Amino acid sequence: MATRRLPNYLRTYRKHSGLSQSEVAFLIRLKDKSDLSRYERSVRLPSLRVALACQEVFGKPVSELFAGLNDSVARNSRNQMKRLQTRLQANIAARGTGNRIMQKLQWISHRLLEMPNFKLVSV
Amino acid sequence: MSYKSLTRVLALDLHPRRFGYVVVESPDRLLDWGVRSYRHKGNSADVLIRRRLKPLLELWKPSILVLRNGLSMARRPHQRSETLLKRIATEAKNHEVPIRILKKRPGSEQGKKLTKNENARRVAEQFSVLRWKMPPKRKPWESEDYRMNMFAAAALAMAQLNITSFSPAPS
Repeated sequence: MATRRLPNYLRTYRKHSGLSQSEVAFLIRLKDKSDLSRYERSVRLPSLRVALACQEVFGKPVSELFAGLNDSVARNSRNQMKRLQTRLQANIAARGTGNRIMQKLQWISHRLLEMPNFKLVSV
Repeated sequence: MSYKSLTRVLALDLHPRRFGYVVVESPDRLLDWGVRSYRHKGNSADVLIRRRLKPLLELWKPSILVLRNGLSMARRPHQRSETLLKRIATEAKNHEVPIRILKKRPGSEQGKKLTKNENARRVAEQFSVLRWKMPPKRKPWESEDYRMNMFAAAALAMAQLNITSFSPAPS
C-alpha cells in the first residue's frame, strides 16, 4: 500500500513539544493561533519567514516539517529539468554543439544524477 | 514521492459519546493522539462522525482505519453503538479508507489477559510522549479515566503495525 507523505507535519511536532497553538503562534510571531491552524491543516501555505521560524522553533529542517510539499516541489523541479534537457538536446541537433549549451546540458545531467529516485534511461 | 512501506493508521477506541484516537505512521512514528467527545443533547453519533471524525480523516488521510468491536462479545445488542459503528464504516468508505474491525482487545491473545492499565503502560513505553497523558491507576470505586480510550486506540494501532515491544510490563 503506497502512501504519500503529508503536506506538513507541523501538528505532529507541536504536539510532541506539548505546546498549544497559541504558544507556538507566539513563538513564531503570528497574529493569532488561527493562522497556525490553517498552516497545520494545509489550508494556507506559510511565508518563508514563518517556515524558517518553524524550523528554528522545532529544530527540524523545513524539508522535514513540510515533507509532502517538499516531495511535490522536488518532483516538479525534476520534471522541469528533464524537459529543459530535452529542449537543449533538440537545440544541439538543430544548430550543432555550442560551448554554452554543452555546459548547461552537463550541469543538468549532473544535477539529475545527484537527485534521489532518478532513473538513468538509455535511449 | 511515494513510499511503498509507508502506512498511516488511524486507530479508534469507541465509546457511545466519545472516542480515543491515535494516528501512527509506519514504522512507529506517532503523529497525533487525543480524545474527541460530544456530551450535549442530540444525536451524539451524528456529531461525533461529522464534526469529530471527518476532520481527522481529511487531515491525516489514513491508509487504514482500525477499530475494535467490543459489542460482538456483549450479551445483548447495543443499538446506539451499533449505529455509531455503521456510520463510521460509511464515513470511511466515503473517504476511500479501508476499515479493519478487531474483535479482541490487543494483548488478550498472549495467554494472560492484560488489564487496561498494563496495556496503557506498554503503550507509554513505546511512545514516550504519551507518558505525560498516562492516567493514574483506577481505584475500584472510581470510573474509568477518559484518556484510557486514547491508550486503547494506541494499542490497536500497534497491533496493526506489528509494533511488538510488548515485553511484560514492570510491576
